[in-house]
Amino acid sequence: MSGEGAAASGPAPRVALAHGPRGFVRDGEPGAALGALAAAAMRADRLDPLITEVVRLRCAQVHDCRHCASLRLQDAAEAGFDEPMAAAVLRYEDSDLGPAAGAALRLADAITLTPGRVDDDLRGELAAHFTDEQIAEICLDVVKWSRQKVLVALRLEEPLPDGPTALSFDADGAPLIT
Amino acid sequence: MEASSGSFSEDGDDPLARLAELHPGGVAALRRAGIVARGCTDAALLDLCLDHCDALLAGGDPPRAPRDERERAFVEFAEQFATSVATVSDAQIDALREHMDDIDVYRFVEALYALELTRRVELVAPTVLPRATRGAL
Repeated sequence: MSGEGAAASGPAPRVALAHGPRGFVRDGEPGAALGALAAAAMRADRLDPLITEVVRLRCAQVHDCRHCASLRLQDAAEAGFDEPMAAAVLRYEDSDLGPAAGAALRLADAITLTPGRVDDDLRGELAAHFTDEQIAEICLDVVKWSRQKVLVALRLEEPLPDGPTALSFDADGAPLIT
Repeated sequence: MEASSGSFSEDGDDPLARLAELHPGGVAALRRAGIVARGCTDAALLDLCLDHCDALLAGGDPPRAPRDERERAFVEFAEQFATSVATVSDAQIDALREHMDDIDVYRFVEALYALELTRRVELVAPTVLPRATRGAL
C-alpha cells in the first residue's frame, strides 16, 4: 500500500490515497474547511509564541505524532524556545516552564484527555495568566494541533526529518515547513 | 445528549457561544468543518460513533449498541480514536476497510476528528470561558 503523504520510514500507511491527505483539501471536502479553521487559529496571534509551542508539542505527545514532535515553531525559537524546554513539556507538572505554561498545558490536557472532568480551578488558573481571548485561542489551537489524530490513526504521517525542522505560517495561516 | 449535532447542550445553551464571541472566525470554521464532514460520510454511522465517543468523554451510556459487524467495527475504532489514537491497530483499520473503500475511510476519520474535537471543546469551554466573565485580569 502506498500513497503521497505516507511515511518513508516507520509503520506502513493503513489506507492508500492516490494524492495523500492533500488530495482532500478542496471545496466540498472536510479538509478545506479544516484548513480554514487552522488558518483562523494561526491568524489569532494573541498568545506568546512560547505558549503556542508548548501547547503544540503537548498535543503531539498526547497523540504520539512523531512528525509534529520533530517540528519547532520558528516564532517560538526566535523568542527563546529551546530543546530543554521541549523536553520539559513531557513532564511539565514537575518542570520550570512556569505557571502560565502549566495552565495552558493543563487546558490542553483537559481537552485532549479529560474533557468531562474540567473544573473551576482550571478556570481560575487560566484567568490568572491569560485573557479570555487568549484562552479561546488555546482552545482552538488544541483543535488545530489535534488534526494529526487522523494521520496517526491511518499512519499517514509525513516522513520524519533528519532533525528539528522549522514550522512557520504565511499571512493566510498556511503552514510552511523549512 | 445530542453529541452528533456538535452544537447545543440539552438545556438549549450553546456551549461554544462565548468562544464564538471571542474567536468568531475560528468557531465559524469549526462549525463549517463539522457540517461539511457530516455531508461527506455516512452520517448515521458517524452519529452512532459520536454517541459512543460522547459516553466515553462525558460519561453516561450511548443510546444504543452497534447492531451489526459494520457498526461494531466503526464504533470500536471510534472509541479507540477517542481514547488513545496512538494505539489504533492495523486490524481496526482493516475492519473499517471491509465496509468502506480507503477514500471513504479517510473521509470518515476526518469527519470523526472534526466532530469529536468539537465535542471536547463543547465540554471544556463553558467552564474555562464562562459567559458572565469578561476581559482580562
